[in-house]
Amino acid sequence: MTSAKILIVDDEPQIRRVLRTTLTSQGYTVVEARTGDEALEEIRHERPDLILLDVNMPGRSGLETCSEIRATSDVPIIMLTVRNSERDKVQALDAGADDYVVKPFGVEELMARIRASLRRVAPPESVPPFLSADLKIDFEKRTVLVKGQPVRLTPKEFELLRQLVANQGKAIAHRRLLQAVWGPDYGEETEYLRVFINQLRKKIEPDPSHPRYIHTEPWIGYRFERPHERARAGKSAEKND
Amino acid sequence: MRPTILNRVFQFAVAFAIIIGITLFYRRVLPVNATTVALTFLLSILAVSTVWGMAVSVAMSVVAMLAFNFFFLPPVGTFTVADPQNWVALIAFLVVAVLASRLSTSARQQAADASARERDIERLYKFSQGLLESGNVMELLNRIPAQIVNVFEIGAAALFLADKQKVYRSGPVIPQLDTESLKAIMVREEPVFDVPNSVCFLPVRLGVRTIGTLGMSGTILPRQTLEAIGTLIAIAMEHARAVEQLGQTEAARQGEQLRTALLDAVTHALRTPLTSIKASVTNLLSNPGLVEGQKHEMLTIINEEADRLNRLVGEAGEMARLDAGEVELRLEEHPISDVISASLTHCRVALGNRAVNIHIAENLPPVRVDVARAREALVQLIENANQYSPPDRPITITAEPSGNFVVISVADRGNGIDDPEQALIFEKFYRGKDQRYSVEGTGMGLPIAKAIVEAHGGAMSLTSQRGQGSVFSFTLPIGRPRAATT
Repeated sequence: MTSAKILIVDDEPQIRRVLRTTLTSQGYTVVEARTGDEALEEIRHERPDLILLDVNMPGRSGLETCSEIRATSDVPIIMLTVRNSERDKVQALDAGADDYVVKPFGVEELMARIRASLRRVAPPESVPPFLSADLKIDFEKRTVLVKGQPVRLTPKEFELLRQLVANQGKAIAHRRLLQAVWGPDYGEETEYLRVFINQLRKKIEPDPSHPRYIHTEPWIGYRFERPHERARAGKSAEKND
Repeated sequence: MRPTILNRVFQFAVAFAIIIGITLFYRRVLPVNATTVALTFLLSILAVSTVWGMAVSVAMSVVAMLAFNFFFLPPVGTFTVADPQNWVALIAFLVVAVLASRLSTSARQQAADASARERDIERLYKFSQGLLESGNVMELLNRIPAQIVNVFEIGAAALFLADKQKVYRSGPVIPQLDTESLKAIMVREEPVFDVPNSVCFLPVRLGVRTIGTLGMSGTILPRQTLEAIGTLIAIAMEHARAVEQLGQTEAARQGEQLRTALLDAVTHALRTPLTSIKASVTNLLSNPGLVEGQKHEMLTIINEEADRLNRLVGEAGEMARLDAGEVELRLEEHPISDVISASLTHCRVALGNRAVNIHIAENLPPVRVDVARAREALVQLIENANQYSPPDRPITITAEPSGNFVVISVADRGNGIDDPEQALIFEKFYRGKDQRYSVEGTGMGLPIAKAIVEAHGGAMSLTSQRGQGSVFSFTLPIGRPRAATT
């Protein structure tokens, strides 16, 4: 596990130095990039298991780089940011980051985030495929079809969707969702859920502003529900495809 | 325009001379019939009446009638009017005289009026031009009375403004134009004329609101002109006020933007070394598995970053003092070579083995500088050149005279700086976009160097070409003795 390869993308030489020493001392293999462009290059050659990506870089910004990476790769990305405002966090998650750490950070915190992101959730229980008129989710093959078209989900999005579908019809609390998807150290970061649920809705809901599948339970959490399909719900829907 | 008495006498004399001339001409030179004579008299009366007006032409027509009667109508040599046609001639002469003079008088009057109006309009135009030139309200207010006095050629003008409770004056002090009278006119809402003293007052109105009073002395201007002046003043004041407000809003907005950018830059500049320190320290504290080399690396980073923070805080303070003009310069005369060699000594470690060429022009006069500050500025430029150019390329330092200044240049053979960046490079916290965070630095070196040079009365400039390198130059004033002779 600890032999995972981590790509550090930061324009500050001193920060790269600290991270390199810290991560190697923890047993990780480290690759470095100074700019977004270098990062994209390194990803192609080195195939890292995780990316630490600085938001504030000259040239191609961290956010741009993140979106760029996401276009081709599902590799976990942790953003490093100096700004601690809600808006900046949401921007980072929106760009496709799985997580972020605010500078200056303690090494323990960073390590916990890295471990959590690397923890490939071993399929705990197999969730049966979900089928409805316009949505098909196969958790074994990790495929999602919306109106017959395949949709790409990031690992975190997919995991979130799995948790929701596995508990179909029941509201899942924020904390439980966060811990199930991100790891045991999480629980307060409800903005993560907001961003990821939002992205999920954009990807699978016919009308994201009037969700039919993923419902918000105010103050509690989220609930996945099979929409009421007129009269003959269920299997008859397959004929529509 | 009233003719003087002498003028009048002359006009009468000429008119009578014309009658005598015509009479003599037809009597002695060219005998013709009475009708022709009458026609000639008529023409001459017409001519005189258009030029000199009614009084002369009526007198002339009476004389002409008498001459016509006496010399040309039978019985010639008497004033007997035998024939009723004489009366017709007389009446014709009078009617022509009166009508023609009336017509020409009114035409002359109209022409005079028109040219007076034209002059007024020209003056109003000139006045409005003058008012619109000033951009701020204070300048405008001081300008209005002077403009009125100049443009309308009057003796004195005074402008009282209600909201400032102040009188702006131009020209000699006229007792009638006192503050109390000006204030009193405010409530009158229409022009007040004091003809015996040649003074008039005009309330200045913007819309329905009276905002002040204008008092003028010397010449009484026509009411229409006065009202136009009042309107122009009101518009100009409103215009200036709007322009001023716009400028203030714009300045406030720019200031706000600058503060935000600065704050952002400070945050980033401070957080970066803090991040390295915090990560290193927490690693040392929490990671028992660190080997000796790794521990040493962490401690080295902490040490370096603490220095960087210290430098940053020091430079920020220095910059703030320079900005506030709180830095006191200890000016003394020094040869520029002193400043250059002190700077090089200071940079020796940083420069390492890099080649540095120095060209100091011969017979350079000493510069008048605070030698410690001047060195600081030059060190910034040398360090900058050192950081931003490959170590195998030389740095060239030159010093040469330029008028009352010595120009010191530091040239590197680095990548150069793009045009759009050249303007930004002296901004606080700005760092070259290629090297922004890849090279040690705080982004305050150049702004500090510039501020130091400017505190000496010099200027800093940059010429750079992509791929060719950059030349930073600054000027320092030379010592007094030479300055007096050049």
